[in-house]
Amino acid sequence: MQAFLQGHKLSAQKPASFNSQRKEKKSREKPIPWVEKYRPKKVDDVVEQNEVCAVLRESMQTSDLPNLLLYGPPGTGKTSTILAAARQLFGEFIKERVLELNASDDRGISVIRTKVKNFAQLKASNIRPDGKPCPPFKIIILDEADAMTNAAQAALRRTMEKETRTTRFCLICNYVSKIIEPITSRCTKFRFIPLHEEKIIERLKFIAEQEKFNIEDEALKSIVETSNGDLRKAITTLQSCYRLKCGSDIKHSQVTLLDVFEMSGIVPDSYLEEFIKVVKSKELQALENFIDAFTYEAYSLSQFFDQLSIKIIMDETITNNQKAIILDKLGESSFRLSTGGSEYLQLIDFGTICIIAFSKQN
Amino acid sequence: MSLWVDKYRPRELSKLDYHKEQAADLKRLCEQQDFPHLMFFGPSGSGKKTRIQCMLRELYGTSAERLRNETMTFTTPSNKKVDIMTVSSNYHIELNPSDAGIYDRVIITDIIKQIAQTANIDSGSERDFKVIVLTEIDDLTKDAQHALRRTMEKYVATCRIILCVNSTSRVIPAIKSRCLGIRVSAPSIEEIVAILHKICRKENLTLPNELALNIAKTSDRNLRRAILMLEAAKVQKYPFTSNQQVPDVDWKIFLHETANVIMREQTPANLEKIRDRLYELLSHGIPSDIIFRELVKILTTKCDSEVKSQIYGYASLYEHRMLSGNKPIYHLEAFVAQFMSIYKKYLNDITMDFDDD
Amino acid sequence: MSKDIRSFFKIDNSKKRKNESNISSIEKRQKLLINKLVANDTNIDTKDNIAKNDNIATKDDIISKDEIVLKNDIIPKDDIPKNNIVPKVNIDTNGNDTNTKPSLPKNDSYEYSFVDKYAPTSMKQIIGQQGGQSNAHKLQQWLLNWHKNHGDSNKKIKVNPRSNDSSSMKAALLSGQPGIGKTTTAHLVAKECLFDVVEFNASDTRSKKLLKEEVSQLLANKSLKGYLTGNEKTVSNRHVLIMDEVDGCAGNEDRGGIAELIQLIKESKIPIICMCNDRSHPKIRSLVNYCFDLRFQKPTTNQIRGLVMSICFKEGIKMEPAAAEALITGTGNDIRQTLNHLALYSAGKKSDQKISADDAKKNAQMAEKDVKIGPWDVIRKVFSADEHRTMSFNDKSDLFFYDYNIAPLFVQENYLCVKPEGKANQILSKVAKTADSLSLGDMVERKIRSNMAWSLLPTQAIFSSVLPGEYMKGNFMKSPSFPSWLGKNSKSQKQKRLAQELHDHTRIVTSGSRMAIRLDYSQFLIKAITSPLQEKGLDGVSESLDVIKSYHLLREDIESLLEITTWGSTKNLWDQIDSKVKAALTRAYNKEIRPYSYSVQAGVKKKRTANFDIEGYGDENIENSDQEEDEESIESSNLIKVKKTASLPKNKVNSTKATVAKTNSSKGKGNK
Repeated sequence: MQAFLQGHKLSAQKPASFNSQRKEKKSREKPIPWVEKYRPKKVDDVVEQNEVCAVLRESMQTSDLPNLLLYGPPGTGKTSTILAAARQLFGEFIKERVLELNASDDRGISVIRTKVKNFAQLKASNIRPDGKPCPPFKIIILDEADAMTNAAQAALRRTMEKETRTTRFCLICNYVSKIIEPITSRCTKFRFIPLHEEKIIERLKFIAEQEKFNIEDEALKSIVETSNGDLRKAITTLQSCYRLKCGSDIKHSQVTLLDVFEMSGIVPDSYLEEFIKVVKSKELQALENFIDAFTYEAYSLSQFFDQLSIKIIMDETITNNQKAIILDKLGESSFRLSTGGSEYLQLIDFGTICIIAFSKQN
Repeated sequence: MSLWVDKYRPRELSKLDYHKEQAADLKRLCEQQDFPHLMFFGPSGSGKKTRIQCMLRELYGTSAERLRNETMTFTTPSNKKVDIMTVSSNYHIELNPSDAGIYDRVIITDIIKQIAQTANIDSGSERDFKVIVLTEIDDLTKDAQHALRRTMEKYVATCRIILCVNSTSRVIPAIKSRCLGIRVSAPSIEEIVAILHKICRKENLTLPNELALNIAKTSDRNLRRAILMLEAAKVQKYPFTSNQQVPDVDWKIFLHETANVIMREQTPANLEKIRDRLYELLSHGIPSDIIFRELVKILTTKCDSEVKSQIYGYASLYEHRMLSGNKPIYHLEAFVAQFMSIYKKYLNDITMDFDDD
Repeated sequence: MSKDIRSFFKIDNSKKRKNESNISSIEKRQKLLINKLVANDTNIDTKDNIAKNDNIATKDDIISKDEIVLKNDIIPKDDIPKNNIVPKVNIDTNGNDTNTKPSLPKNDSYEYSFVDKYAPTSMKQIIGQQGGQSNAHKLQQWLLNWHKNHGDSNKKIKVNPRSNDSSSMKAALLSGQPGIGKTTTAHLVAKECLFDVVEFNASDTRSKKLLKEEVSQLLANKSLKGYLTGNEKTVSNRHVLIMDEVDGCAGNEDRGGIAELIQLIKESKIPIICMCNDRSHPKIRSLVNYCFDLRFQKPTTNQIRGLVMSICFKEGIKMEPAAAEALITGTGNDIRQTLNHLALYSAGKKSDQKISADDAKKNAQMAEKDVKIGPWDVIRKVFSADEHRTMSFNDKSDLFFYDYNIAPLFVQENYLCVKPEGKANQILSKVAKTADSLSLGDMVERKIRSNMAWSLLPTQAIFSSVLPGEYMKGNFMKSPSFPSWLGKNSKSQKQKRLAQELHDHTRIVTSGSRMAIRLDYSQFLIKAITSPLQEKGLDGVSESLDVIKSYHLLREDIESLLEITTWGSTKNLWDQIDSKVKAALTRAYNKEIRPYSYSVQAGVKKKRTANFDIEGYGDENIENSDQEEDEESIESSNLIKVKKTASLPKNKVNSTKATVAKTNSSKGKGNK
C-alpha cells in the first residue's frame, strides 16, 4: 500500500513537475481507478459505519488509538477508514509511520518476527519532521489478516503487547472467526455492516456527477442490487460501464441497464425463466439442449445458481416440498462447483433433480 | 506456411467476425488513456486470446506483434529453481502461472511483482503502463489467486493485468470484482459456418453448405477445432462432397469407441478393459475432467431417460470426487462401474417385464 | 513387562551419567589422541573374560580405549558392550588411577542385555562358524594371507574376477540376513589375526567425498595405541577396514559411495571387509566383482538351542527345550532376536518359574506378528473369503498397514480379478460399491498427503482395503498383478511435459492454451507435417519444412507430436514415410532452421530424460542423422573463424549431444 500511496501522490504532483505538453496532458489524465480516486480522505467522509468513526474521531483529538480489529464483508470501507484516519493523523508522513502488509506480501512467521517486530520497536516522536505535533506512535496495518497462518498470528500477540507504547496494530479481515482468540482479546473490535442501498446510490450519483456522465436510474439501481452492499464492487462496475460504453464520445455518455448486466456478469433473467420452464416441462432432452446452449454462452454458473436460488424462493407456484428438494440440491451443487466441479455436470445433475422434484405432486 | 487457423486469425479488433458490438466496446476502451484490469472468459475456442492479441495491437500498434520467447527463472522458498516460459513483446508479457504447478503462488508474487515494479521507460510507447497477460487463471491454487488479488491493486499504476479463463466458477470472487469481465461466448453454428465459407473463398475452394454445417456441429462450437477440421478434410479429400466424413479429433473417436465397449457388455472383465482404455486416454495427456464430461455426454445419448437421471447424479458425484482426490482413474472407474451396474439392472428389469407379459 | 522396560531405562540413565562425568577429563587427552586410530587391543580378549567375573579394572589401556569410544565413532560397536562390563576408571595422562568410580553396582549382570553379555569373544564361540570350511575360517585365512598377496605394491598380481581364488581379492564381502553374526565374525577374526579395526557403518555418512578424504587419511595413519599402552614397541600398521551395512549407502548424502568404495578397494593397501544384508541389491552387484564373496547362512535351530540352553543355565532360567525351540523358530532363527526375547521373558518371570512351551509359543507368536508379508500375500488375504473367516476387523485393517503406500494400488488393480461369493447378478453392484469405496479412499489419501493428516490413515484403511475386501470376498480367478498405475502415471506425466514443451514452442504463433494444443492442434499439426511427405515424397520436404518453420518446432518436437497422437495399435504416421524422405527432411531442417532460444536447453533436457527419438527413426535413419551431425559439426567448426556468432549455438547443440551420447555409452558399459 505504501507503494501505491506513493504512486497516488506522484500522480497528483505530476502535472506541475512536467513541462512537456504531451506529457502533461497525459499525466493529468493519469488513470486512477475511481475506487482510489473517491476513497474517503477524512474519517468524516466515510459512509455509514458510525460507531468506528466516532471512536476514530475521538482518538484523533486525544492523539491516542487502541489496537483495532476491523471486520466485515468486503467493500464496506475497512481499509479506507483506517487509511483515512492514518492520513489525518500523520499527514504526508504517513509513509514513515504506517506499515501495511497484506496477503500478497510474505507474512510467514519469519516476517512477523523480523519485519513487523523491527518496525514496531522503532521509537516514534510526537513531533513531525516539519514541526507539527502528531501522535507518538506508528500504525501497523495487517490487511486480510484472516489469511495469516495461526502460527504467524501467535507470533504477533506478544509483539502487540510489548510495543503498545510505540505501535498500534490494526487488523483487517473478513471473518473474525479466523483470528485467534488471544489476538481478538487484545483489540477493540469493530464490525462493518454492509452499506444501505440509498447510501451507495448517493455515492454513485456523486461520482457520476464528478465524472460528468449520465446514468439511468434503473441501471444505477441494478448496480447497487448486484453489489450486495459492496461499495467497491459498485464503483468498479460503474467505472467499467463508463469505460466500455461511454469513452471519450460525449454523445454516448449514457449507461443503460443492459450494459450493467453485461458488466456485472449477471445472467439475464430470460435464461433463468427458461430453465425453470424447461425443468417444469419434465423433458430431459429439452434440459440437455438448454444446458448445452447455456454453457456455450459462458455465463458464470455460480452467478446463475445465486440468482436462481432467489428466484425459486420467490416463486409461489412451487410448493414448499419442491423448494426444499431443489434448494437442498442447489446447495450441494454450488459447493461442488466452487471446489472445482465441472459446470456442465453439476448443472445437469441439478436439473434432473429439479425435474424429479416437479414430478412429485405436492 | 501456417495452418489456416493461424493464417486467417484476425489481427485487428475491427476485423473480428462475430461479437462485433463487443469489439467496438473494446476498441473504445483502447482509445482511452486508461482501462481497468480485464478478465476474458468463455469456452475453449471462442476467441479469447485472439481478442487479447487484437487489443494489444490496438494499444501499442504493430510492435506488439513482435513476439519473442523467453525463459524466466525464479527461486522457490525451498530454494528450488523453476523455469517458466513466457512470450513477450516490448510492451506486454504473457505467461501461464499454472505451468509452475504447486509453485504458482511464487510466480504471482515474485515475477509479477518484478515485472510490475519496473515501469515502462520506453519513451516511444503510447501508454505508460505494461500489460501482463495471465492465462488459465482458473487452474491456479486458491493461495495464488489470493496473492494475485492484492498484486492487482498494488501495481495498478504501472501495469494492467489481462486474465484469460475458461470458467469463472473457479476464480475467487475477490479477483472477479477487481476486473472488468469480458464474456466471450462461443460462436453460434451459423457464425462458424460463415467463417468456414469465408476461409474457403480466400483459399479458392468451394465448400458445400452441408459439410460446413457438419463440421460446425462436430466441433462443439469450438471455432479453432472447426477450422482445423476443415483443413484436415481438405487434405483428406478435395473437392469436397457434401456428405464426406468429418475428421473428428482422435481422442474423441477413442472415447466413442470406449463408450461402445461399455454399452456392449457389463461385466467385471469388461470393466478391466475399460480401465485400460481410460489409462490410455489419461496417459495421452487428455485432462481427466474432459474425459469425464465427454464420456457422460456420449453414454447418456445411448440410454433411456429413466436411467439418465441416475447417471447424471453419479456423474456429478464422482466428477467432484475426482477433483478432490489424487488419482483420476479411481473415480472414472467408479463411475463406469456404477453405470454398468445401473444399466445392467435396467436391462434385466426390462427383460423381466417381457417375461411377465 | 512394564517393570522390565523400566529396568532397561535405568541402565540407559546410569550409562549416560557415567559418560558425562567422564567427558571432561577425557577432553584433555582427547586432543592428543584425536587423530589417532585406536582399535582393538589384541590383548584384551582374555582379560575381558576375567573382567566379566571380577569387575575390577586392571589395565589402563582398556579404559583409554573405552573413552575414545565416546568420541571416536570408529570403534566397532560390538566392542562397546564388552567394555561396558568393565567399570570406568579415570586416569590422568601418566596412566595412574586417580579416580576410581565404579558406577555400576557389582553383581548386576541383569543390567546387560543377553546379546551383549553373551556375545562371542573368540572365533570358536561363534555359532555355526566352527570348522575349516566355515566362513570365519575362510576369512581368517584370507586375512592372514593378505599381506603376502598384496603387501608388495610393486608386485602386481593379475586379478581375475571370475576366479574364486580368495587370495586375489583385496576385499571380502560378507552377506547374509540380519542377526546371524557377520559383524561379530569380522571383528573377532580381525582380532585373532592381530589386525586393528577401522569401521564405518550406516551412522557415518559415506559419500564419495567423505570416503575419499577420511578413509584414505585414516588408513595412512599409524596406530599409536601400542605405544601408549606400552605393550608394543612397534607401531602397528596392520589395519583392516570394515565397511558395515554397505547396502545402506543411500540417498543424496551417500551418492557415489559404492563407486568410491570400489575405487578404494582397487587402490587399497590394507584388507577391506564389506558387509551387507542383500547381496542381490543392484548397488551391491557391482561391488561383488571385486570382493571375496562369503555368504552367511542362518544357523540351524539346533545350534541356537544349544546356546539358549547354556545361557538359561548360566542365568538360572528354567526352560523346557521345546520352549526354546518354539522361541527360536518364532524369531526366524535370528540369534539376536531370540536372545532379546529370552531376556524380556526371563525378566518378567520369577526365577523359580519354569518357562513352558506354551508360554514360549505365545511369545513367539508375538514375534511372528512382526514378520513382514509382501504386498502379494496381502492382496490375497484381502480378498480371500477363507482367510476372512479367521480374521478380526483389526486384522483386516492391519493388512493395509503392511505397506500403506502401495496397498491401495494393489487393491484397485486386482479387485476385478476376484470372483465374489454370492449370486451372479449381484456381482456388478458389488463391483460398483467397491469402486465407490476406493474412490472415497482416494479422497482420504489426498487429504492425508496434502495436509499431513496421518491420523486419517485408519480411515483410508477402511475405504481402500477393508471395505473392498468385504464386498468382493471370494476367490481370485487369476494371479494378482502389479499395479499399473505407477507406470501409467509416469507416462502421462511425460506426455504432459511433451505437450507443455510443444505449447511453449508454438506459443508465438498459436493462440490456444496448453490443453488446446493437446486436444485440437497436435493431431492436425502432425498431419500437416507428414502428409506432404507421404504423398509427394522428396518434393514434399519443403512443404512440411515450411510448417515446421512457421510453428518454430524443434526436431524433437516432431517425435513428441508423434508420441502424443499415436493411439494404442494405430500405426505411427512417421513409420509410413520413406526413410530417404525422412533423412532429406532432417538434412533440410539442419540446414535451414537456426536454433531457437530454447534449442540448447531443450536438446539437453530431452536427451537426458529419454532417448525416444531413436525409437522414431528407422535404423538406417539413425546412421544418416548421425552422419549429418558429424558433417554439421565439422562444417560449423570451420565456420567459426568466419562467422563465430552464427555457428556457435549450433556447435553447442552438437557438442552437448555428443557428450550426452558419450555418457550414455559409458553407462551402458558400467551396467555390463
